[in-house]
Amino acid sequence: MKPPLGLVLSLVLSFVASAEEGTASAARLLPPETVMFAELHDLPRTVERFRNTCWAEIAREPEMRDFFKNLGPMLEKQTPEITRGILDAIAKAGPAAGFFALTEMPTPKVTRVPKMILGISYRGEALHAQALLEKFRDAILAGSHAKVKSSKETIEGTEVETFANSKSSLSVVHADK
Amino acid sequence: MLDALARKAGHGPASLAQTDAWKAAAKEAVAEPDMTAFLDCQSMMKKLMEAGGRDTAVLTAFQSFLPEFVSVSTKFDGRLMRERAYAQFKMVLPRSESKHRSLAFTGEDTFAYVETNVAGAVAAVEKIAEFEPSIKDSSELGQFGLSFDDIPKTFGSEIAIVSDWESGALAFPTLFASVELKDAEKGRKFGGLITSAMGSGGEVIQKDYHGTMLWSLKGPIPLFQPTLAVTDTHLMFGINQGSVTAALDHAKDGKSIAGSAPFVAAMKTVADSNDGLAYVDCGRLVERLYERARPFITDAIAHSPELAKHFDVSLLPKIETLKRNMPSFLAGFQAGEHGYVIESTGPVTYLSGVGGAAFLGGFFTFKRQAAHAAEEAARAQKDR
Repeated sequence: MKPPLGLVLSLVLSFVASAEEGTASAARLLPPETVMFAELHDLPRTVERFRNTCWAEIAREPEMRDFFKNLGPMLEKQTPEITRGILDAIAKAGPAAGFFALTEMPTPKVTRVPKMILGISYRGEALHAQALLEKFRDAILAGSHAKVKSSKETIEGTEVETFANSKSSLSVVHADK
Repeated sequence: MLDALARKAGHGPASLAQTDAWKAAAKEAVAEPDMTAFLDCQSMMKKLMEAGGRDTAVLTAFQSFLPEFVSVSTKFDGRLMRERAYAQFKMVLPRSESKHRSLAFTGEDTFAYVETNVAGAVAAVEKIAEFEPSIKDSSELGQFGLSFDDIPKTFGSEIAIVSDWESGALAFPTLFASVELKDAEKGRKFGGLITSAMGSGGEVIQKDYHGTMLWSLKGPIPLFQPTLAVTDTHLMFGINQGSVTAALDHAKDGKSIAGSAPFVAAMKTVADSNDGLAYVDCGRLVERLYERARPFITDAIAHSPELAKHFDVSLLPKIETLKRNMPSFLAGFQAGEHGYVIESTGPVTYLSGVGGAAFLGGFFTFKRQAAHAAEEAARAQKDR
């Protein structure tokens, strides 16, 4: 019998103390047979660099500021409270870098389940990173139609929380908790 | 995941970072990138074929034409965005270095120019013909005294696309393409083959333009009258007669974009363009687009009380404000020892531009389909 088509996703959340640690490629964490990998190296540096681009120069032009002066307050008014709360928590957690990798593709003889890993590192307050993780977990549990079983286990000193139904599983690790 | 944690702690099994592919990709990346992406094409294709129940032997036969891996690295670099996309192949096809000769067809109204080296593509077709000889059997070529083997003997290395856009409410962008010829006589035979095919689509009219014969497909819209011309050095195609005659005029007067300040400045931003280049004068493009869009924006604000609450038409930024801040886009195509690089700089980069356009295209198609489906549903409910 063929295994059911689903997904295995791992989410690793970790704290980085220094910019150097943040910019070291996450390729060092992934298996050699990784099929696809995308990485954002250092978000604060990217934001800082963006401020020098032609787009930022255009946005700073007095004519542009005058024309769009009501856009900011309008968007703020139209943003739901819940979204503002999430954006605020993201700002406080201080996301530093992130990566996504497809480490295993489904092959009919071995598995029909692709394996993916998502990593996010932060430089802000762990409390807010943990709160975001909990929001993400709640959203998965609330949005899932199939029965989801949640379990926690400690492997080699690291607590791994897994959510699984018959087809898919999501494992979450807060590496520096 | 536990292996990833073990690697993070410094005692895990081997990692992607230790592979030769990753090391080669890192070598070709921009310095201190903001974003990096990597795709193991051969593994992915093999697994996709296995999943689809296809015979992977075909992949072995054609693996020379499929990149081993593709890597993309991007960064914000001063005022520009910079990107290097690298594709590594088992075999890099031989080609002559691009000399940008086709820049001669550009002029002061040119806003876009793309030139690539077609020698690689011709060599690839010849390789494919070794596996699939039936593609050489073309009765159409035979009717004009040509054979498949005449293709590499006839066409030279450079293929170029040029678009001009004059200022003015009635001006539209033109489209012109040229292929270099090594053998003018055979080039004319290929021209005959194409005009014969054009004839099946309607009436073809001939015109002599300073000694060059033009063949145009007559149509109801003057802006769209596909035109072909063959000179001793080039086979040319234009979206209308004007596109071809403008290119011929540019080649004669010698005032190409090659000496223009935006082009010269853009060329300095990439390391090499030995396999072709793509250039867009973004300042000019924005100017032309804004000229067209400004009346519509003014009209939209004037007729929408909701928009009028937030935007003042009299404060609409001047064209010059946008234009002076807009650097040109340049992509240099580079053929190396083990693969090909596209290094691009500009307000957007090569892949972000293509990806962004695809995303916007997909988004608007989806929106249109959703609106159409909603209309259909409303109509069906009304009929009930």
